[in-house]
Amino acid sequence: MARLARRIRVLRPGGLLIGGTLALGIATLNTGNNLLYLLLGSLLGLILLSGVLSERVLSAVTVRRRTVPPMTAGRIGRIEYDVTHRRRGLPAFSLEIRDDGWQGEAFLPLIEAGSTLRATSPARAERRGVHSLGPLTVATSFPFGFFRKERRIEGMDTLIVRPRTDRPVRMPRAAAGGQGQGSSLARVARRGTFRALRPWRSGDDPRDVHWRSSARLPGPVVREYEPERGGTPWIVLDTRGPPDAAEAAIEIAAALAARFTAQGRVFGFAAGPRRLPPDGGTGHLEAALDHMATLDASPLAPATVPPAEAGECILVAPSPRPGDWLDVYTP
Amino acid sequence: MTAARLHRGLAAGMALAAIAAFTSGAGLEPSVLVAVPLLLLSAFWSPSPERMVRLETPLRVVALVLAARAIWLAFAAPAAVITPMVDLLLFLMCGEALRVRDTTGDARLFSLSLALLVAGAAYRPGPGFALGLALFLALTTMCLAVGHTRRQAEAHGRAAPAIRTGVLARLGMASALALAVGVLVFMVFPRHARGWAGRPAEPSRIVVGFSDVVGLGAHGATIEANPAVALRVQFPDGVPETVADLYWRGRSYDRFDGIRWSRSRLPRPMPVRPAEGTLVRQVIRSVPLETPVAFGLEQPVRARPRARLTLLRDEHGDLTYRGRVAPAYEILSRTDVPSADSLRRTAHALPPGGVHFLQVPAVSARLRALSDSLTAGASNDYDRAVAIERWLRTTFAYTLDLPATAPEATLEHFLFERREGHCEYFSTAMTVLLRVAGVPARNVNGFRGGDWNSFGDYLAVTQNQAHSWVEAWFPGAGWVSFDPTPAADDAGILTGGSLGPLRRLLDGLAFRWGTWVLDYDLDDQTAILARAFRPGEAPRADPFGPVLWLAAVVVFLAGAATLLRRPRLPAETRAWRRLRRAYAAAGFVAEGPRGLAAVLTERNAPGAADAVRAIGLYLAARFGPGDGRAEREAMRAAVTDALRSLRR
Repeated sequence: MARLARRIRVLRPGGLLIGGTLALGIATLNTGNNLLYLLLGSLLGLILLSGVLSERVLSAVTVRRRTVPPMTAGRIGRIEYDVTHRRRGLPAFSLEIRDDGWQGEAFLPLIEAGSTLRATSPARAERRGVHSLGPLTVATSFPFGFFRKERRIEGMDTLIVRPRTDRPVRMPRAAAGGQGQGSSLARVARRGTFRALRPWRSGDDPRDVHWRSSARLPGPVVREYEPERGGTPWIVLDTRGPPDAAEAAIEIAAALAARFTAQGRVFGFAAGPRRLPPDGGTGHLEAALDHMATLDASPLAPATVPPAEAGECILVAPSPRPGDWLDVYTP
Repeated sequence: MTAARLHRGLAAGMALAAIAAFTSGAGLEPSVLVAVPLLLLSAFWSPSPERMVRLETPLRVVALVLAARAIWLAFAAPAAVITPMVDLLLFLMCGEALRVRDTTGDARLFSLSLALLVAGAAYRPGPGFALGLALFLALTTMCLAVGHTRRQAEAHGRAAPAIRTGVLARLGMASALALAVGVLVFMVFPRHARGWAGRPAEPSRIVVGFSDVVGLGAHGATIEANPAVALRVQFPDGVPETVADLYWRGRSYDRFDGIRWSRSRLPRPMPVRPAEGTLVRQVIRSVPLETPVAFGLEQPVRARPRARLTLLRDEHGDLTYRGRVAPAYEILSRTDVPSADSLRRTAHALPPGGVHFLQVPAVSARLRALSDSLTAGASNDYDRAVAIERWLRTTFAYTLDLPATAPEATLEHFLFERREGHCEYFSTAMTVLLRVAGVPARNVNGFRGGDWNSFGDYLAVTQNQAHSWVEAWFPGAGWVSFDPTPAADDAGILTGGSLGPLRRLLDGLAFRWGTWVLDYDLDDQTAILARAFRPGEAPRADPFGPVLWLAAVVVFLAGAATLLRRPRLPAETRAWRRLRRAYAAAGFVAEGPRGLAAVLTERNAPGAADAVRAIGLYLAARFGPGDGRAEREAMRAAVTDALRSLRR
């Protein structure tokens, strides 16, 4: 026999009703008035009816979590459920569906008997990675709002949370060459064609600061260059290092990839043993982000072998690595 | 109808159902007459939020005044506190119902309505209370469910869903479960405790002469054409043959001062006849009286009270009761009357406290002469009594018209001038004439007759059947009754007229309600238990009768059918299925609506154009945007046209 796994919480009106019923019980015993026995029993009956109707609602529905689209860390995504009322008779009212361990819940005010509706729950993950979605909780406080009854539905799904892409990063240098090497003219040449001035961001090369303009403005501004179109850069992500720094490196790589995509540029991506050949577009970006979502970020993470000459690769790592990289990003 | 309007209507209905239950006992109080229209108004209209804000202060002031009044009366006149409490409750209910429906108001209105029901329970309401309670539970279930759905939808930023009438009705039917639990708790919870909060049963306004002093002549004024039932009597061991002409003895009076009858303190109690001979057992339920008199057939030899009541026998042999409930008791009476011969043979002797039963007021010589002349030919007390009884019955007339002046209300005026009166004049005259002749006698008040109610198998004795007669003392036989009142046109109110059966039915219902609900007690519970554990014993009469049981079964089946009923398909689907079945029977079969449309067009079926149009409308109504109402209507017409063509 299947065990009914239900959790019941008494809500405020329910508490008042129970208190009122107890008070009426005392008055009934005291007076011996027969009609008060009838009223007392009717109140107990309403409590029982509440339990029966809520059980009818909960046992009538099946909930199936839909294939969950990947989410981005720090952003509100959604989890979708298909809710089916598989009984005849009364509709199911006021259904709340929640994934255990997640904030937010889906709500359906009414599902007619025999029909299926889709419910959507907002969800937000703060860290990227592969998250497990375990049991669901379906709850209702129907019919009177006296009690909230919950039913757990077992289920196992995975949810991929991509790294956030909104971390501010500077534009990479345009040409090959190690950081701080060569003449200023050569550096300028490597950076490509001057495009505009923009506010200074963390990680910008201090040598790019345009001092004359910075003196006139409230904060420092730096020169921004249009990279040369000639080479296809590779983003080489190395996640070996302290976890926090490695996570930050992943976010920098994600932001860089998003920026390339937003500019319509082609880039290759390599992290650990896996490589994504140079390509452009949203699909390529999503593939890179999916890969980043599943990366191990720890000192034991596999090393990344550069897929091309170091001069064509932008290294993103928790700490600088030796080599003549096109550019180097560290948190 | 919008969810908000539906909710408002249900909330008002819930409060009105509680008021209906309340008035079944308390009657139409003035505050009820004010509250009902306001609640009806609230079902359709509520003030704007701005106006309600302005109304809040005066409403609170009035509520505070009513609350202060109730508190003051709770101390000043505790017995009357319930009325101001009810006024306050009704006022709060109206205020709550008129308040802008903010979707939390239903819980407060529910609490207030419930409080009103609790107050109504104190009034010994009639069967209408049960109907009101059932309605209240049904409307409460619907109202709270709709209100909760609205609250939840609003809390989640969604529009409140429309709830179909069928679903609403099913919720109402589900409330039968709450009522069933109520009945179960009512039946099985042991009736044991009593306490401080009980309200005594409301005494009846009946004043038929059962107090310690009864004035001659005032009697008729209160009993005339009063059809209210005073006693309901069952005969568990069999109904006596003369059930409609029995004497229900209440109280005896020994002292007469010429105007009033009163009761003396006797030095010794009257002996009770041994419980042998012809015995009749009666279960009597009486309305609560101002003077707690217990009734029974003559002569009561044993008495047993029901739970929560105490029966006492005073020195006159009369029965009284103590208790805060409507009196119910069982009396065993010895109804065999000694034969005339045996009474003639009895020696003349006085009963205990004998001189009290020979007392006469200052009477005129002509009254003494009358007594002497009436009893001149009799050689024993019995013949003397019979002679006086016969003379009064045959030469006087019965009337309920009262004497116009005080001098005309005297016994002598009755005997020598008016020569007509009601039973109390006759019984007084006979008692005084017997006493003048030296026969110990006393005046007895009670009821005579009754109307047999076949709906409930009981005798209903109404207040206009109140009666007075005479008891004379015969040594060895005890007190023997004589009735000198001539026959009157006393057709029973319950049986008379074309409404007689309806009256009997309603009274039978009220009797069952009183027996099995209001006065259901530990005795009933133990009796039910005893029957359950002794199946061989003949079952007692079905308490609610086959009709009510049948009604209960019908209600249960209807409720079950409603809860389990297959949901009705949408109208357009039903029309589509009808169309498909009809064409399938004619040999046009295809997969799905589009397939059928193709087949009908291809084979040029009868009514194909209408059928294809109906199918298009079906798809639009079922899967298109909007509510599909227009498409549904058009589809129905198209289906009708198509089927008409097909039949041709």
